[in-house]
Amino acid sequence: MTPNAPNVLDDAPNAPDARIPPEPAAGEPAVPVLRAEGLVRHFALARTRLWRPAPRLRAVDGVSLAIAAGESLGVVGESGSGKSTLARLVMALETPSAGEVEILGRNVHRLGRTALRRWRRHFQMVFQDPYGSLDPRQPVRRIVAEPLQALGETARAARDEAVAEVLLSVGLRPGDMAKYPHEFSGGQRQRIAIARALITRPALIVADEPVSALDVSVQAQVLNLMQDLRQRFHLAYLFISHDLAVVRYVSDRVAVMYRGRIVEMAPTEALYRAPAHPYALALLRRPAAAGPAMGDAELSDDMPGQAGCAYAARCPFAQARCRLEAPGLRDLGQGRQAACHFAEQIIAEGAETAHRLAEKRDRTAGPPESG
Amino acid sequence: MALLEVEDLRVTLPTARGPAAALRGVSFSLEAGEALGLVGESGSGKSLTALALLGLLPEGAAVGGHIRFAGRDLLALPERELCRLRGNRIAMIFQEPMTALNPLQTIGRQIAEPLRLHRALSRSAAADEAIRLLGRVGLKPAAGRARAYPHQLSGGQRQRAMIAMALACAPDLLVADEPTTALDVTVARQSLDLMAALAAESGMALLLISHDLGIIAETTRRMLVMYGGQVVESGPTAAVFAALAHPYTRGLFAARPRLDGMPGRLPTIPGSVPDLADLPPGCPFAGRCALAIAACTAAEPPAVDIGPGHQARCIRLDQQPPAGDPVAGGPA
Repeated sequence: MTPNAPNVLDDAPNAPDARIPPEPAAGEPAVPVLRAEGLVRHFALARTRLWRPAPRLRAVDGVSLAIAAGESLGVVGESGSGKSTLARLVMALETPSAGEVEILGRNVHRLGRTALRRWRRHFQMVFQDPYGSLDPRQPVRRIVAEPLQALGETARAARDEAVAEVLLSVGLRPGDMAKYPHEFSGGQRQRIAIARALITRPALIVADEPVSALDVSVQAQVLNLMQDLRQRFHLAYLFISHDLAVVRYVSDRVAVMYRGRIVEMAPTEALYRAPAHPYALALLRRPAAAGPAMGDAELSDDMPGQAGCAYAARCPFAQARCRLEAPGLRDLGQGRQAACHFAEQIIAEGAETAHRLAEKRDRTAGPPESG
Repeated sequence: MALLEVEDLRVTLPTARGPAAALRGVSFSLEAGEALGLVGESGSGKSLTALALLGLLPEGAAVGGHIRFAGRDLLALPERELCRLRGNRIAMIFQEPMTALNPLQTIGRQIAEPLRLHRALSRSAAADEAIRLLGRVGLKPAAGRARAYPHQLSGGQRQRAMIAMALACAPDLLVADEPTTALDVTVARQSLDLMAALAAESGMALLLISHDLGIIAETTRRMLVMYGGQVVESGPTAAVFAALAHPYTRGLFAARPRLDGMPGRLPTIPGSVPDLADLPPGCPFAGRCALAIAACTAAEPPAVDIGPGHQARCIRLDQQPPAGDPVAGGPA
């Protein structure tokens, strides 16, 4: 931190702001801020056999979700689960192989270039790395104003005024706009990145691991700020993280992704109290408590073609049925969905189920089959 | 005699804004077979401590104090002698397995390198030993993985290869700097368990550096908390987790999001980690500490004994209310 750095690290934003996006009038059906339907994104991999078609990596493999105005949806999963690809699809930074993304009712992948750029005012992104995502050669004034400029706001005075206002709301000072990114700490840089996302008054902010690169003591400040801003500006978040504890603090609902699919989606409290999918259970409990060790899941390839549940090979609950029949995402009531044949039992009994099912398997199916 | 004794280690780094006192009198010791945790945020000096142990400090660094390893002062050793120790008796696992591995060499060849160098094994004997090591860290099929290049492995597999490489010469001391930060939760746990098991099996000492308190709790018996180039609290891991004596330790624990925490606001530490180039005099944490008084900035606080082997550098310990509920994720 610079010696003359302002006291910008209090938690509470200090500028009053009345410009909250209007909520839908009573009786009018609310258009979700984000609606994704059947999203698929495949990547072609290098050919492994000369006479076979090139294998495809299903980074996102049929994801549907919706986020209402002011709602925060957390997305958790390991690396390779497809959560970052999902974010890029939602942000229209990548084209889906199938499916669609609607932001405030408009399919962003069908918009022309100019129309998309204008529509982007409604959905903005905050990236993981506050060091890499800010141009080191531009002053904060230009970094934060860039989305406005892209929208055609050309008057410098108007831009500066908007920058000053948004800097205040993220706990920085208007005077900071003349500084360069290297003059700020990691936490302050992430505030600048949030200010840049906020300046167009978006309805949705997609945040991909926004606090992962920050120190623990600063991480809490930024999480609190994101909570405050959400309430003040009625923002919706798509909040992506591998850290379940972090997601818990900012999410109304949580989607758990595994191998490109949502395997569980539930209200935050319900999920953390009693997860319905074995993978969510394994993420939340120590592996020791969730049955046998995970094994090297990364060893198995991501190629299509195998029948049954993608998680079966790692799953301590897996039965013969799981290897034959892939469970679809099904409704469990109370806003909860999970893709597991045994979801109800797992909610009710948690890790206990593992032992019981294992016994049953041993009795009925003889020695557990290999592979 | 302890395997490793660090005494009043001081490192000053040249920066654009003048010399920065990056380590300001760090002292600790480590016995053979012991696992010691080192907790701190960026800029606390924890990685620099690791680099100093390996004689890998950046150019222009001024070093003071002593690092005694098996009776020899590493700071007084010529580079040639250090090279004999590095990768042989002292090994290190780096944070980022992708950049720490050579992308142009097979995994097997990279693991064989220290064996050829330090053990003078023949090419084929080293290759066989590399395959055995890969099997030991659970990379299977070992022979196939030995022929793979780093880009053909996943992050968890690369970290296992790094562990195999570090263990190649059966070191007495393994320094692991954030070994799991780049890994997924479940894979991180496997890597840690593997390291702890191998350490216990071979009597190797482990210095585990991490910002993750859960990992420290599960893997170590004793821990140090670093802040501003100093060890602000040290003691048995269980005692530190129970007492949270230093205000920084307490703030760090409170600010950590918890799986079983209540939603809503997180307690925060105001301010951010100080820049080592212009640290204020006195306690490095004073500027962020709710308990700070004028005396805190007047002189560096001495280490105060709190319990058996448990110390904290704070003159306001009596003002700190007792720790509340035991922190979740603490040692069992």
